[in-house]
Amino acid sequence: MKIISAVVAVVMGAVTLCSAATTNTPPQTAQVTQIELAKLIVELAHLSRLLPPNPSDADYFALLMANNIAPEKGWVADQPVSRYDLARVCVLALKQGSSVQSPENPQSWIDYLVDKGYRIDTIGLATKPLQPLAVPVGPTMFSNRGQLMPRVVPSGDVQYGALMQPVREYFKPLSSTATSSNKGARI
Amino acid sequence: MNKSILIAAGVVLGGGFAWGLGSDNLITVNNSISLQWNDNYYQAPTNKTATAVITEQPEILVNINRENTYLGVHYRPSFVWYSNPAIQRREVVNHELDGNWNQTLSSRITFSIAETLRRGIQPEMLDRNNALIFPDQSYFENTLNGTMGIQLRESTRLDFSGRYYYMHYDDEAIATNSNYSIASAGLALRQELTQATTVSGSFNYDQAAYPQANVRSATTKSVGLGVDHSFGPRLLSSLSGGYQFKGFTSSAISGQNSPYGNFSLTYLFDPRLRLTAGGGYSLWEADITNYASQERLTGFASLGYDISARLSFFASGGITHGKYRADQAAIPGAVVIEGANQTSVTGVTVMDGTDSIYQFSARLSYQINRHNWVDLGYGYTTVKSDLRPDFDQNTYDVSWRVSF
Repeated sequence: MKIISAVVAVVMGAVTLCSAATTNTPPQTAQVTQIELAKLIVELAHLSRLLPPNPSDADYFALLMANNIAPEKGWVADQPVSRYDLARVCVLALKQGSSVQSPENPQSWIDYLVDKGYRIDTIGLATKPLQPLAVPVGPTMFSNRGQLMPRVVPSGDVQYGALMQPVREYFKPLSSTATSSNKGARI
Repeated sequence: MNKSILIAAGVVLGGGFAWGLGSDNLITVNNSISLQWNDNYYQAPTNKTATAVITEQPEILVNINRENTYLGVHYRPSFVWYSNPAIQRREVVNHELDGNWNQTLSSRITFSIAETLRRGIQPEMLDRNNALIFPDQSYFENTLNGTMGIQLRESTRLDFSGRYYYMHYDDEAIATNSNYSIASAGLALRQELTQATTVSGSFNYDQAAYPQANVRSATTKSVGLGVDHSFGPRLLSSLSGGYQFKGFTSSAISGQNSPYGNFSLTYLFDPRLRLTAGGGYSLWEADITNYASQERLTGFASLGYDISARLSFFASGGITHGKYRADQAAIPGAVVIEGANQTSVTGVTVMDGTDSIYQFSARLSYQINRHNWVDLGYGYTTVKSDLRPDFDQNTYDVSWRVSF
């Protein structure tokens, strides 16, 4: 418990220092990067519950890729979002990718959205029609009981495309006479 | 039941609150009804009891997106009916609730909170001769995660995280030995080396507390390194590993230091086919009573394939292999007498052993129109164990899902 208290204290100190640092720094304006777009789509598609608590950029990208949502040349965190990438990712998040006439032609993805009456002038307008995925797929199947914190996944029956049956924990006291050979080795 | 009502009321209030915030908020309601055939409801090695299972699952999703704020709520109850009259309790209701709050405080600081609540009803199982197969294992499981991320420099990020995990069983006999909580704290420092590679270092502290079985309480410290690497536009990989130091409150149980590791791969073969695979090894809370810990090795693979615009196929397979040590037997108040590879604890033999679970599942999903899907599914589970009866189980299901 003392260690937890110490960690909390360090966090508060770091936040204070960082806040002080940021107040002296003018806000930066920059192009929207692919990681920012990925985070927005994860939220709009209601996939946040399938992420670990402190997800890395790779966790966002892996989750979207598991749901078949990716730019033509893949996700690159720092790369600015192009209109082609934006249109393609939005169509895939709408699960209408197979309706695009010429998927190898980037302009077709833009044309598809425009034909549907969607605007892609800004990230906000392009992502406005997105809804939670009806069949979300999580990137891993195991629950978080006792797992190391940086990589934990949500507990319960994480949607994984195909659903796994739960196996009950075993509480019955062991027999006083072993019924099987002792295969386990002492470490 | 009171807690269930509270959960439902919270969701309804939350949903109403969200609805009242304006037209930009999004509330989605889905529903799924499935018919399943389970050939081994009791998970018994022989004399299997088969049953049809009807499951009704409404689902409410709430999304609130603002410039710096995201709130998401997901609630899904399950109403389950079993057809076989030999099953003592043929109607159960389970609950799942997820909440996410992501907040951007400044250009450098973000925090997120994730709440996960599960209420599972698992009534006792008796066989045809009224012998106990499983006691009542109904439970509340709650996980509260909080993370604060600080962007120290453009390519450097520091995450502080805390987690409180709580597991509570209804049955008094089980609760005595198996109710527990884990309080965790940790930090992770990430450094982007190139556009394709990020390395990280982490430290975690976990404190597991069993209020009525202090003999199982333990603390674990973990230090590790990790790397996320993109091998190309379609292949992502993650690898992490380190060392764990686990010590038990009781001096009668041996502490354990162990390496740990996890890896995962995500690969988009083409726009229609994707694969995810991974594995891990670490110390873990025991799934079998009478033990304080296990060494758990896991592996999994899954693929999704869009056969056509309307037809998709999913398949998953996984292995969980747990190794248990006799010198980590955990029975409160017992006298431990060690022998060769086994420990006699007040008349109960506890031995070294392994427990392996193999699972496979497949699903074919057909989209009838924009709002309706029909699924066909199959699942197979088998357990091979030194420490409990082996069994296998097949399930077949057909379901209809609708998004309103």
